[in-house]
Amino acid sequence: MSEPSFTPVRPGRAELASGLLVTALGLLGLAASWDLERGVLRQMGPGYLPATVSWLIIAGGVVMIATAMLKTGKPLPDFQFRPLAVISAGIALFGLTIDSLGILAAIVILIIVCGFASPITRFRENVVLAVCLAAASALIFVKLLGLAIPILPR
Amino acid sequence: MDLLGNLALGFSVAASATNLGFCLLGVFVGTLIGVLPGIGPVATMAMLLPATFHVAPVSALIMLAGIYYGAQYGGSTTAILARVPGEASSLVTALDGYKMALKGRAGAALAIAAIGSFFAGTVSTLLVAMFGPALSKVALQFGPSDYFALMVLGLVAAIVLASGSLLKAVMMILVGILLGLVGTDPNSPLPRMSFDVPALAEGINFVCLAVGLFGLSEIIYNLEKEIVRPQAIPFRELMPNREEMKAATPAILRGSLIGSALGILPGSGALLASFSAYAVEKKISKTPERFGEGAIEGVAAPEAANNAGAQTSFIPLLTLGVPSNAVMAVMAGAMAIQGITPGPQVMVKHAELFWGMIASMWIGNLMLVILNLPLVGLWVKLLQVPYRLLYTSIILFCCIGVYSINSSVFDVYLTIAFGILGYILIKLEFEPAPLLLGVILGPLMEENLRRAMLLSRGSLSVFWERPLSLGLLLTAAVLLMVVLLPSLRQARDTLKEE
Repeated sequence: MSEPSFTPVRPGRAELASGLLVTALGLLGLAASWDLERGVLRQMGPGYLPATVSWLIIAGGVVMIATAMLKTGKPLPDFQFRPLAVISAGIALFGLTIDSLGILAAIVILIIVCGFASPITRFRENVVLAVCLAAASALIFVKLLGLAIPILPR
Repeated sequence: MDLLGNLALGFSVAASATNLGFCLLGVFVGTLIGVLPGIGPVATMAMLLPATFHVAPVSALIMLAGIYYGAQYGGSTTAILARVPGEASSLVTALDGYKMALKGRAGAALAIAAIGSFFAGTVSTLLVAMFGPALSKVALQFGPSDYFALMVLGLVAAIVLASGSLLKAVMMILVGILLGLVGTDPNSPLPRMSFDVPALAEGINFVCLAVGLFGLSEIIYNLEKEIVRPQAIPFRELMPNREEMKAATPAILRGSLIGSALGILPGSGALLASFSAYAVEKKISKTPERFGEGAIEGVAAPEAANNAGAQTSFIPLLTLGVPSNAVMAVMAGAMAIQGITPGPQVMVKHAELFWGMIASMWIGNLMLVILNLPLVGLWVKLLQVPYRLLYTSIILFCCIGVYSINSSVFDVYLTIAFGILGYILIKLEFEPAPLLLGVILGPLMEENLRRAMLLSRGSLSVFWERPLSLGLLLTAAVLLMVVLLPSLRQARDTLKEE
């Protein structure tokens, strides 16, 4: 379980990115709770805790950014966009199609698209898998378990 | 009611045909995902949450619990036969178990792991049955400020035991609390922080969050790595010899006790239990050099410990209502879906649920021994299923699971968002487990804090005037200080590395 070796850089890019991410999440929380009534400690409004927690998150994020700027650290990790983008797209297509095209088509699309996420997939095999899983899912989830999903396109 | 009466009630519930069926299903699925690397119990349980909507609460919980401890068994099988720990908690088992397999003692290692797990399961079931009621009686005395303090302690402990950066773990908890607060505020009918999205008005769907953070992100992350198909070592006989039994028996006993004790602690569960049990065995052994070379104690103790720990980690959830790790957070989510608030009232209001689940754990452990030893060949075959077929199937189950909750396409998109967030978090070395705890505990903490402040008219002094609150908060402070001390931090890091 040894850590992969890396050349330390300054600022520590991984830490910097972490700090920016945390700060952004805190700002998002603050934006979401901005209009809410804060109230006072004795009579807390709906916005009291959300705003407090958001500020704490922002503070933590700023500390992380500051430490990253001052110290050396790991470089940015190597993000691979292919699996991330392809799988997200495949699931999004599933969402777009399931109501209109039905479970069979949506699953076939999902599995064929997700197959492109990695070079390990063999295209023909994946098509067969897609068809089998679609048929099995329609049988199990719709026929047996009675989920309210159309099987065929409307 | 006395212990025996309670257990009798439990067994009468757990032994019904339906519940036996769900228990079997749970441990079967658990073993399956324990064998398969790349998908853990948290993601599986989250994926199956929607399927539990329509079953009785007790059956749902029996099945979900079965997945968790079943995964501990399954993980050990592949750890021994192929040096692939299916679950993190069987990492240490792979050290000596695989060496034993190489020496032709795979059968003995598997048998000892199963026997040890079963024994530990029995011990910890009894412990839960004995201490559960006592703890929940204490918990019934808790006021709102005590509850708030208890949850703070639980979260601090989760931070202390999380691996990696402390600050990152704290941030994960806070982000989790924030996410948990989205939706309806308990004191007003208006939705908050929902950005006017109707689907968020009742809060972020827990299933989407858990499936995205623990299921999808794992798959995306796994696809980056090259996955080598493990080769399992063939073996014939399945019985340990007398010497092995003699060496393993005390180790199983010690492992069960260590595991049970550590399982109760917040934030730990099975993982820490197995690591500590291994370390203890190595320390007290007269021949520590055998460890890592195929010492049977090195299989027996951690396997007993991780199973015991998996089971006693239910105690804080069922008696105090505070989930101690990500798996228990999912259990809390499942209870919430069924309209049951985890906590001391469970034992009073839903006695059959509490005792039924306890009894089912023992039955489930028995099933696992039967399921695992003769069927070990089947599990090994499963290892050979290539990941390229597996990952698309898992994605499919994630999608259908999420969509089927509300027939909502929005939930599917939300899951993608959490999948992407989860992937970025893994890459930046954030642990998602504390986040899940925050999601569950956030609303509970808010409710109790608001109530406490209302009662004390805005004075924070309740936290030091009530001895219980003070004690809990002091414990949390001490824990935090301990972990911040440099020398102890080092010790903690070395323990993690071992």
